[in-house]
Amino acid sequence: MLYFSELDKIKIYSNNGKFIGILDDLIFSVINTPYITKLVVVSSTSSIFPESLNIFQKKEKLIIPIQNLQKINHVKMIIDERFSQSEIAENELFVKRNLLDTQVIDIEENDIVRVNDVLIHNVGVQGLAIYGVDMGFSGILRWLKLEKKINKLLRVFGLSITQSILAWSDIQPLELTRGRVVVKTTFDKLKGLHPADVADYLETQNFKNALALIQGIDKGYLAEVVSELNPNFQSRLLKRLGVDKIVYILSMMETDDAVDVLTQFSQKRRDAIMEKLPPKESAEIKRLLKFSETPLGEFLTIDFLTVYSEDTCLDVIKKIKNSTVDFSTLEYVYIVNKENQLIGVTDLHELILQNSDNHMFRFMVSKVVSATLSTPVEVAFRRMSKYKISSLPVIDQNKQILGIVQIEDLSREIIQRIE
Amino acid sequence: MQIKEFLKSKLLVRLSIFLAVFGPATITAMADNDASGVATYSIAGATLGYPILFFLVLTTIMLGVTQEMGIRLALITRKGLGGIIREHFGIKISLIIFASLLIANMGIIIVDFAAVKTTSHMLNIPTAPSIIFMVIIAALFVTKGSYKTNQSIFLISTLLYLAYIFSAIKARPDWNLALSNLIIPHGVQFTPEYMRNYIIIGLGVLGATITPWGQFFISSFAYDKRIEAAKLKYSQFEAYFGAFLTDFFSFFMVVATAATLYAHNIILESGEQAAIAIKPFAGELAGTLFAIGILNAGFIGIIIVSLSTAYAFSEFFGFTRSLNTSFERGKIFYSIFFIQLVIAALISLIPSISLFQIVIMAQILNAMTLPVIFYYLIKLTNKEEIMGKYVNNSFQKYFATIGTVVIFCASVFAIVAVIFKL
Repeated sequence: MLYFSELDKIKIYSNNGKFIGILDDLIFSVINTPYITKLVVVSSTSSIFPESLNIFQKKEKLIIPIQNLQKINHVKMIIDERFSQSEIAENELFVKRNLLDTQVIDIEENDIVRVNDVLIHNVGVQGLAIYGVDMGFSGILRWLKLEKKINKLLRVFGLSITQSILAWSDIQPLELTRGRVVVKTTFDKLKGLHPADVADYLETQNFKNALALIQGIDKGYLAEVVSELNPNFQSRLLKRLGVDKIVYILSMMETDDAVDVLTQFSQKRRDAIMEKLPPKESAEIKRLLKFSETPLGEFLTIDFLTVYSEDTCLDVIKKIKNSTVDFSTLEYVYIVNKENQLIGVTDLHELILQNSDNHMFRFMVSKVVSATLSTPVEVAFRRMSKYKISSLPVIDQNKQILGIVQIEDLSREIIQRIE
Repeated sequence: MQIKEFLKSKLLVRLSIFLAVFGPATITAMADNDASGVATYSIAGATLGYPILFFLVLTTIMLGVTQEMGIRLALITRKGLGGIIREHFGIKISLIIFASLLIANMGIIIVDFAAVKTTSHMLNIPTAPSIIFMVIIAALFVTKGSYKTNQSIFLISTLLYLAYIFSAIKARPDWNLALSNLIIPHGVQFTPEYMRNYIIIGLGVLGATITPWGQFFISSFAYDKRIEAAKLKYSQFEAYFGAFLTDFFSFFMVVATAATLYAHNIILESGEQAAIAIKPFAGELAGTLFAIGILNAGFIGIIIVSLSTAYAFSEFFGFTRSLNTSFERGKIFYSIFFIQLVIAALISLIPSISLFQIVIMAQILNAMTLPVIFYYLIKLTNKEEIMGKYVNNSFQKYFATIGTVVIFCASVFAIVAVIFKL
């Protein structure tokens, strides 16, 4: 690892020992990896115009591609004697002019800190690249060649200077071209992660931070994140949000998750929220809330589709297209008779294989594996794994479907019990 | 009729824009007249009489020109002076400038503490406890104070300056002499001794009026107030207005002391003697009024000058810069503030340190750092790549450059004169 402060004003020689000039700046690429691409050298004795070797030595700036660099250490640089020259290109910036000494803007904290030094590391055959920026006090001392002495002195008193280095991956490159170093917010870093991973991250944060973080998250995405949080954290977090935001999150959530959330609120708050939910959803949630005391009730979701035994495959596929848009997933289609009693089931694979005019009763499985609300979770889970099905219909005494339970919800519950 | 109303409304719009940006230069100008300023102008009037007024005019123009540069630079770059210097000239230059600022500011803070000492003598209060009390109050003020209390204390301090205006009028000075001296110095015998004092005390007056910390303060303030670049014209006007305002009061201080102390050949050495300058107005209360006024002016100086060091440090070297952050986060900021206070308070407790003896030296120290800061200020505001179409015009460029060179030469002369006791 090299510091720019050590390279600044370093002497540059050609490989036949001729003095070229001193290093004035470095040029780096802003796109992706910040490779050092060119050296800016101030030469007082121009190697190009020998006639300028008079008393009026003209200072000249040479921009030399890094490919000419042969050797680098803390004292000097050696470049090819037949070095080429070039210009700064688009998407390139100067280390000293554009990066060093600029203000670092941290959106969350609003601190004013500055880039005191730039860290450069070796990246194999590619050459040199910027590793990050030093914002600490050490960076200042290094320019004064006092870092080691002060550190030695501090060690006598058992003290040390805290390092404050910002890695390149934490900087927004776009802002650099506008002459500012802007730190990526934590949320920027979370962007693109799976909601479940974001939820895990939030749980590691202190409550205040987590609350601040979710303010910036898009509401639809937030609903997914919230439903992945553990119930304890989830209820704490939701209790701090306004009713309107909760209503929005709940309406974006799957019904069974929404019910889980609602059961953690007081009756009064629950009513306030229910009032604001769209009528259809609040009716469904009310129905599920009634079941939530039973063993399977809290896992019940109403994302299921029922069709009649006389329906053709084409009818059913149309129905799927029209009425299951909001479902989080669909694996089975349940077949009922005129009394809405469950009489059969088929999975989507089977359905698609059939001719489009085939009637459901012709190929449905009529011996349906099901459960009731009072079925214990373990029993339901065993049943599902035994018959290799991913969701199980829950029926009442009249054999009418109340809802379905999904294996992922049950397995999560079982894992929690084991832990 | 309509045209008249239109003009009236236009005038109102202009006035309201002016009042909205009204601030940085005026506040800096008022703060310029801290205890050290009052003492310097009093000494200048008492020792040199009216002819120093001529120099005051030149100083006012220089103040206006340089403060306008500072405001313009801050508004165009949207950065404070410290930040711009750091970004364009790097760490080493920043360190040199900060070091000179620190030394100059320490001088001023010591003088302001010496003013507290003078007050305690005049009001017969024990010195050490009142200085310690001052440190505590200043610390509380900065950690707990609000913008509003800040402003009202500013307003109270102007009362002392008003006393000088009334005194100057009541003392029946030779107005002809006073006003004509604004244009050309005359009416005294220009002996070599007088000329020597004129240069040294003149440099002190310059240091009291144009301060390094003022340059940093005005640019941070303009930046903090988030004045839009489009309103630059009003800010520029305000810069000159602020400069005029500072020296409007300074003018009366000089006239009041010239008419009372200089006229009677009283050498200014103590608070009681300084109070004679406002006796025509305040009568027997002069001593008390002067004591309270200079205490107040000292208090403002102590706070603003030490805060400006801490602000400049944060801007130069990038540490949390805000009065709103908790102590833990703003540790370095507060530490710089407190350490200055404590060191200055301790030095001011040395018995031989007295306000009227050290003030001119501290102001000369101040003036000596100006060329360094102006060099960079002029260089930055001359650069088209920074300022765009707002670069210095030729008057600003040449006046500021010549002024800087003159200050530099006078500083060299002052050092030589003091060291070799010329």
